[in-house]
Amino acid sequence: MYRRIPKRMLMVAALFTILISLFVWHGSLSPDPESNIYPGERELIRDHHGYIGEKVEVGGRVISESPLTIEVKYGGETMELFVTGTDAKVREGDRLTVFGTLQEDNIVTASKVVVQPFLNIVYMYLVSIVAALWVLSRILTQWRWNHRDKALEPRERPGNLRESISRFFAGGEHG
Amino acid sequence: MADLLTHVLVAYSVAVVLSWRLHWITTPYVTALMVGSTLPDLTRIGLLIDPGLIERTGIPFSYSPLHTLGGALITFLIISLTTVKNFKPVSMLLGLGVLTHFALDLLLINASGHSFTVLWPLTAYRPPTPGLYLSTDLWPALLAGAVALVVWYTDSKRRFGSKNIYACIDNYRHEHDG
Repeated sequence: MYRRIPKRMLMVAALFTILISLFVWHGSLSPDPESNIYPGERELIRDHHGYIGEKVEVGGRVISESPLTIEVKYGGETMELFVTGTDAKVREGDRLTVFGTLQEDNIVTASKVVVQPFLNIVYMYLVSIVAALWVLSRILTQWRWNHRDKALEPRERPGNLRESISRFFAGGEHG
Repeated sequence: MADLLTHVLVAYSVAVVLSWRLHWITTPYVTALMVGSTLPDLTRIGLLIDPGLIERTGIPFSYSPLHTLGGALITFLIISLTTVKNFKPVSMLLGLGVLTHFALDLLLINASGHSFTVLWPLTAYRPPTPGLYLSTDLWPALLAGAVALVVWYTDSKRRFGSKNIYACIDNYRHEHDG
């Protein structure tokens, strides 16, 4: 038992190192249209002149319906892109993702656009928060922290939420 | 990414149906599978800590690996190693939850017609997507909710005979522990 903990710690440290390396590795990847990985928000904000004439896949908030304009954001910077070649119905505040060819003057000629209405985006965030709270409450009522093992263990029977929260770290025999 | 509610509802249904065959999957373990189904969306940490701002330090950075097989594998291993003693069942269920997440997200509508790099870092291939829904659509959660209700109802019927399991445990304890 006491030997197992340091071994686990070493494994966790190693896994964290690999995970951070993956973050950096993925961040250093370039678009690869052959594998259907197209320049996106990051590439266009950094160097959109470098991608003129190429297929891009980029999304942003609609800030004008006519001319159809989206605001593309990355790393605290923004740029405006004009989207042509689509008669998609959009309103300001919707999210529009366009797959198309980048032209001069920040214009993208769309092959395809995907529109996510503003209210649907609000809906998505709301139900996602509900889902997160649901899962959290299930963890709190069905599991508890065991101080001796320094680990979560399943409860024999689910508690009610308020009691479970107050006794989650109590580690009692019948918590 | 489909909305989180759809993911969690589908994970619930999968876990409960599995528990009909695998009796060690009790309610807390159903929750473990549900937790697994949320893990790839940890990429949403980007809403709090902008990867673009990290990149301003000159280090290339992206949270996208969390939403790939390689990154999700590491995530659920870290969570199972740090939070529970019974590593094997919990890591299996978290992993299965991750797979349900990817299965749903591979069906999402995408402007380029291609899904995400699910198998990275093995390959950066983006499989074509049938484009069934958007993460902002309402009906996937409604459908998943309806299925979950049927599963929940069937499950409670199946348990009917052993409904008073907690009372049985209490009796047992009472008799054996004095």
